Amino acid sequence: MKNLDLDSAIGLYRRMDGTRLPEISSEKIAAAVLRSREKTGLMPAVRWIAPLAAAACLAVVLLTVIPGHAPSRNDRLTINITGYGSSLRSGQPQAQEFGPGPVQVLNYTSKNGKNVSVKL
Amino acid sequence: MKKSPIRWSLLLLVLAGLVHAQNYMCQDGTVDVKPGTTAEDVVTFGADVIIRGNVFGTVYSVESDVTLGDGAVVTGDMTLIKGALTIARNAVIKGKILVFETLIKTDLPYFVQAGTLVFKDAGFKIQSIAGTVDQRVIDYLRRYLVMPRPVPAGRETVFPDFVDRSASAEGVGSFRISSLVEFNIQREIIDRSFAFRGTCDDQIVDITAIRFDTPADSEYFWNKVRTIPEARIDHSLHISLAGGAHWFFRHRDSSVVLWYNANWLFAVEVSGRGSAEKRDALRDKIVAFYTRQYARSEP
Repeated sequence: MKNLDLDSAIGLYRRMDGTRLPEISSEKIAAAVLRSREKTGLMPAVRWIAPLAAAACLAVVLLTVIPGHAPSRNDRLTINITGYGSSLRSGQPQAQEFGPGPVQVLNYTSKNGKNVSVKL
Repeated sequence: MKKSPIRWSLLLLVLAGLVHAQNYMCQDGTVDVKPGTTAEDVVTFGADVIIRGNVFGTVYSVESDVTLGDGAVVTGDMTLIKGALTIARNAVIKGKILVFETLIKTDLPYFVQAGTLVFKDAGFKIQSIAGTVDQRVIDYLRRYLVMPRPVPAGRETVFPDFVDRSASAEGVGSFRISSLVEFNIQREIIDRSFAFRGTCDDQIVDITAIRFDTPADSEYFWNKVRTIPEARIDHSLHISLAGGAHWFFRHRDSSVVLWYNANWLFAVEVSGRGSAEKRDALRDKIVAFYTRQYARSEP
């Protein structure tokens, strides 16, 4: 209800479009509009822009935290990557059945992250 | 407690051994880690592996005969596929051991517990995975597990002479791998980089070679490359053991190989219509070209 003054002023203005409330002058309506702006502090267009800007900021934050989209933090080397989503990694040595056929995958990952990965 | 000079000397010897630790990547040959020497990773296919010294990295061997002799110390993990493992009484294994279809020969006493061979006195276990390994996987490992990861010794690379070059070399500010991913790189951090495009047998050949300032930078970049989801590609084999890394895969109408070694990163992509086998063959021919070209190079 924060635009009550503005809405009621416009409503009165519309209703008095005939002759019912001739005492409400355009100056009074303008003053009511001004009060409304002072109260909300925002123009109607701005009320749309603010949440849009907030959503855009949130999207940037989300894209930044998704692996693969995050800009590099290396001091000397900056690499920006575009074009795909998050990665799939194997954790421990394992034998898996992969895909529709009986293709066995022999994956290995060492403690320091070195690995062997096979996928046919 | 006062440490004797002998202990300090032994410690220094061990540290010196770590500094000079060698990576082994071998196909159809022999790897011999001699007593008193130290290896980092050992990767083999169809090889005889004799370990009598120290391996502080990983042993990954396929269709190989691996022998841990007296005095052998393996600190990292061991993965053996369709081979044989001989263990001497005084061998020490500190990491995990995983075997697929592997014959184990030893005099050490052990008992079997839920598919695991427990060598209680020696202090290690061998986990044996039941079932057979798909022959197609073995064939793929035979083709791509072992690769020399060739890079030039100098600052410049070359273009294969059997490919018709259609674009001149230029610096790389960004490069693309198939339609999967595009990398944008700060120009100033790259010492020298090259991008080539050409055609061969109705296929388009793209070669990118980047020389980074330091090996740490190329490794850092590789870790970015590795975020390509394997779910998006097929016929993939990636290995980052034994110094550097390489990765063969197919994506849509492209056959790709990437490798890094020391300061260098190479990307070779063959794309076009026709069979994937034909693209693979051309890609592998280009890898063979670089292997010959840089055979005497030390990165």
